[in-house]
Amino acid sequence: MVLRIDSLIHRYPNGTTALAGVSLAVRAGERVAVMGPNGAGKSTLARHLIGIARPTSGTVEVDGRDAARLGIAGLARSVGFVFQNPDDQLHATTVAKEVGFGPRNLGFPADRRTALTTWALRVTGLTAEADSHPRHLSFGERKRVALASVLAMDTPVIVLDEPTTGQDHRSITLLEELIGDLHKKGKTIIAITHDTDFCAENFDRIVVLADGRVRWDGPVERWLEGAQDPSVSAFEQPQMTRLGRRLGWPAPVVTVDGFLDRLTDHAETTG
Amino acid sequence: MGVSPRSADDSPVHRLNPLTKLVFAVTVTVSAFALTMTWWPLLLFCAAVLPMVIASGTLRKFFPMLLALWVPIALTVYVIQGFFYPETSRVVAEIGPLELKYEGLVFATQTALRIMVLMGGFFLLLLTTRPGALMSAMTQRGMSPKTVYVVSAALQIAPALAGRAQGILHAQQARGLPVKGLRGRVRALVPMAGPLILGALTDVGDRAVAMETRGFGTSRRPTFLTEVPDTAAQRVARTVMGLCALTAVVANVFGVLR
Repeated sequence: MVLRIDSLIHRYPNGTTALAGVSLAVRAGERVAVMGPNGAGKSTLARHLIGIARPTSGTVEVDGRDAARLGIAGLARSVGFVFQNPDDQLHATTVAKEVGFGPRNLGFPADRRTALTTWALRVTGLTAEADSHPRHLSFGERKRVALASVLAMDTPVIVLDEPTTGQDHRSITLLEELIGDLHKKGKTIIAITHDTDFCAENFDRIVVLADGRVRWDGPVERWLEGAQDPSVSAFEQPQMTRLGRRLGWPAPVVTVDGFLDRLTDHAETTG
Repeated sequence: MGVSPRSADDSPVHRLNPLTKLVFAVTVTVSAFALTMTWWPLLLFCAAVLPMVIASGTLRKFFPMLLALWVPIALTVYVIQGFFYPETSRVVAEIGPLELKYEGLVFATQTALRIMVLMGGFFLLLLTTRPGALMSAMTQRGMSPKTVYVVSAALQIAPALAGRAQGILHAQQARGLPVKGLRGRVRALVPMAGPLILGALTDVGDRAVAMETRGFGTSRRPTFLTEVPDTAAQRVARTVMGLCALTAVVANVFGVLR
């Protein structure tokens, strides 16, 4: 297991319990989406994964090491975290320097640093902007710079906090392709998101949090089968699922490919 | 999760009209700076600020906040005034080519104590007052909403920037930025200051537009969602405190109580 969370409780100083006994294990190479309504504890959980927050009780282990003890800097080689607000990190005068900031801090040799920076710029569609000032880019582009700067650190685990917020269609398509490529490379990807379509198309497993507890943990299709379950009805279902239901299909479909397969089967069955 | 510096507790000090606490902070500050006896600010702190802090029940938040900001400033004042006091004076110690001067140390003590009173008065206000209540109280007393906003923003800027700085620090540390030790701290300066300052400037611009679009700049007198309670006793207290501050200034001008 690359990540193991055991009976994690997090209580803020004002008494609010953000996490009320969360247990979770993530294998290397898994794609996991963490969903939940506002205040469910998603962000607090993410903060534990990179050692920002310390458990009130329970443990968070990354590669078998205690995350709270390692702290943020100690986990930087293992977990890359793409923060929701890119403006909290952009400081360099060019996009290329910004992307190369992490690898430099991690002490990578120059050739590896250059290779990773070039790759990260390419896969995020930012090669043409390498010499631009990050602050001159749009919000969506700045988000991609933040993503590229984490990819360039080549960490085995990548956590994305609300990656689709403020992104146009082209950027989301790029992100989806990227998640597929990273998955093939064996990276573990965890996304905190509200976007059910994005989640359905790109993640194998969904963890639904509500009131600081895990309400669902499993494949997306199985989750959507329980349409009346409050953990499901709180979200807008993926477009393909809604379309399938309108067509009267009993079992939910979640992806475009799944929908096409089902349609082909249906056409063959009905002649 | 946002963290407000205001204490969640309710106390008689919390319930005071924000203007009373503002006038208190201004009065102790003016008095500390106007009267020139060296230990006067310490007396003022112990006799006026501290009892108010104790009564407000914010002691456990007040002192860490005060020490975190006051100690570095006080040390800087001691170093600068102790070694570089401009007037010829008695040398207490010599460190290499530098001379530690007695008058410089006395002046540094007085300045540091004055700053402590200033910080104490305004931290008390900050810890026991909702910014919205302060704005409403000042506007209800006829002050221009723009002036009130400037005062309120000035009081909120430190905790707001501290919260943002924490977020930036985490983001940079997550990218492997070492921040421990002197070298690490120096290296972290640009990656920290850049997003912090640029972010603050962007926020100011965005907030100004957002406020204007909601009619903040209108010349009409605003109405209030909630009335901030005030009493005759507090109005008298504010007048008395104002007179005290004025007396201190007059004493300074005429060289009394030196």
